[in-house]
Amino acid sequence: MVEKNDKAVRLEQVLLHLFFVLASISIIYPILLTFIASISTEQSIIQKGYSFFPSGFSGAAYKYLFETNDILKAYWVTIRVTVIGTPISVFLTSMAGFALSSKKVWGRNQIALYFYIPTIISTGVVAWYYNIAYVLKLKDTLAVLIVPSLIGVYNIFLVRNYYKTIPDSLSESAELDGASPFQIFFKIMFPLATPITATIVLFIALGYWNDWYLATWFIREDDLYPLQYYLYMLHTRITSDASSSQGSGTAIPINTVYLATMFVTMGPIVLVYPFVQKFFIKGIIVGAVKG
Amino acid sequence: MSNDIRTDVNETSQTAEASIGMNSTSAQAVKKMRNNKFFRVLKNWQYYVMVLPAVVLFFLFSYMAMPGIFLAFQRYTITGGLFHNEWIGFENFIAFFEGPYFWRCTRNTFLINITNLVFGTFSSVLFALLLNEMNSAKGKKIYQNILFLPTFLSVLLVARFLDLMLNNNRGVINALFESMGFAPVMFYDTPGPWVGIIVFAYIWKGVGYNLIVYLAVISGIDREIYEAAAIDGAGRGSCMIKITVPLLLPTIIILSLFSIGRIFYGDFQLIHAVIGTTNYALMDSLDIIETYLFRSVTNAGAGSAPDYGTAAAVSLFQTLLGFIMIFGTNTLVRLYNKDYSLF
Repeated sequence: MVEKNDKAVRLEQVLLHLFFVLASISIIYPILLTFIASISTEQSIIQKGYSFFPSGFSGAAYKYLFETNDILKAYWVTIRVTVIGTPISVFLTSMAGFALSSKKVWGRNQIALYFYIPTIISTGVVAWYYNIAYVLKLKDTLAVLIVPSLIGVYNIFLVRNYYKTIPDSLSESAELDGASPFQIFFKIMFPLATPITATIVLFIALGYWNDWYLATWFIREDDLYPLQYYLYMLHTRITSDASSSQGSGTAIPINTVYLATMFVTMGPIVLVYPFVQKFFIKGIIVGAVKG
Repeated sequence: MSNDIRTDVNETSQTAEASIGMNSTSAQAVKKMRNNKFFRVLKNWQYYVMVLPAVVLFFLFSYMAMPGIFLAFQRYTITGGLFHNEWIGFENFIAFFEGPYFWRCTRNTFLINITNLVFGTFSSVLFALLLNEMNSAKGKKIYQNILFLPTFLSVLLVARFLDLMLNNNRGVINALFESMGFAPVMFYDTPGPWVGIIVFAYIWKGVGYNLIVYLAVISGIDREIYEAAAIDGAGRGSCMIKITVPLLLPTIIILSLFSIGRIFYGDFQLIHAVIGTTNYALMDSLDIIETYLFRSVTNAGAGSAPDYGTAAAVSLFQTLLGFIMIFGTNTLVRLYNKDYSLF
């Protein structure tokens, strides 16, 4: 009886592993396929399609990619957006969250409501677009890729809730020693909030790196294409090229260039993923429990 | 207003009492001074400076957009700007309701979201339950990390992966069909299966994230319940169905209710990445309110002036639907459990 039970449990575990191995393959498969297809020859893509076993290998796509500076330009836009946007966003979000967590601030709940109202009563995407494009006149600027997403209500509340868990006595004793609110924030509270800060740094940086929504609405100048939007436009170009004339006789290996661009776009993310994922998972759990 | 002051007085007197290191005579005077709201704001001005940038940004990007709603009631012209157009009442709304896009976009938005709600929730819970049943802690961790990877990838890449698989001429699936002797399927010209494909993509991208939320809830369940059940002779399967699932139910219900609140808001990014502005074949099942709005605002393809009037009307219509859904679900949440309600 016991033996049979053991066998059943083992079979169960094997089936569970099988299930998750299949699920994991479905995740890794397209990433690997992108890479292999990007180093195959253009001919192979046109004849055999995207395949793990191309008829030949070639580095022409990567050579082309780094000879023309389109992708580098797009990279440079994305890097600027991420590097400028992330610290400002984290800094402003942390300060606002800290101020809203302090019991000394009269009207803090009203201010929180002020942040929350646009979520409930959204103006709709047209008014939003009209405001940014024609009232604030931010179309085709680097700023439009950064500023609209500097402050998110979810992050403010996440940070505020974290600061609320830090005992008041800490800031009160610092105040008695003559510390100003800014000193309390920078010298005591901000260092104590490192776990939540790390989480929002990652969320915000990833948001900037992966963003193409803002570019889709506001960027029409190719000099300002961020990486993701560049990839989108490249794909659009391929589809129209393919429908107009097969191959069109150009020397550019457009299909493999597109695949190489895909790989270069996700490369950094996949590389840093193992090192940062645990902070994300912690952050999600904090958010899920608190919010 | 008087109400505000009263609560303020209560609050301050409490903080004054709570504050330490203050002798009783000066405490009286300070207490009196502190009761003054103006004094309190003035003394803590630095806190207000801290929150000011966020307040300004919200004003610029959210509150300043609000007058744009009026475009819904105007015949928009470029020279008219926001306020100097002809006011035409509900004409824009009527044009939208009578046009071909109203039913198609509203239906598609709703269908994609409801399918995703049902299957997305089901698969997230299933994955969490199965992973929780795994004995090997190492395996658990590895699978969780791999499944979480797509959370990091942009929506655009997910759309491009779909293209790798489903491309009419070069896709993996059509190559497979061909090698098995079937005729290739022109996925990008066949709207039928796309609601399913899009929902699959959402699950592919999101299951790792949702898994973590559900696993966190499961790990919070008291172990003693399972031990007691095991003593009574319950197997792992019945423990899962009779203990874990019922205890997950509150989380499932709450998360679902929030999704229902947003059921008329489509996800622009993935669908736009798939259909762009030109794949008319797929629009039968994938054109949602957001993609329609994008086309009419940016007016990609056509040569005429952008139709802000109708677009703003559609946007307002959607906001109203969203408003009704949010208040409706909030009422439902309150009925279910007051603590979980938003307001």
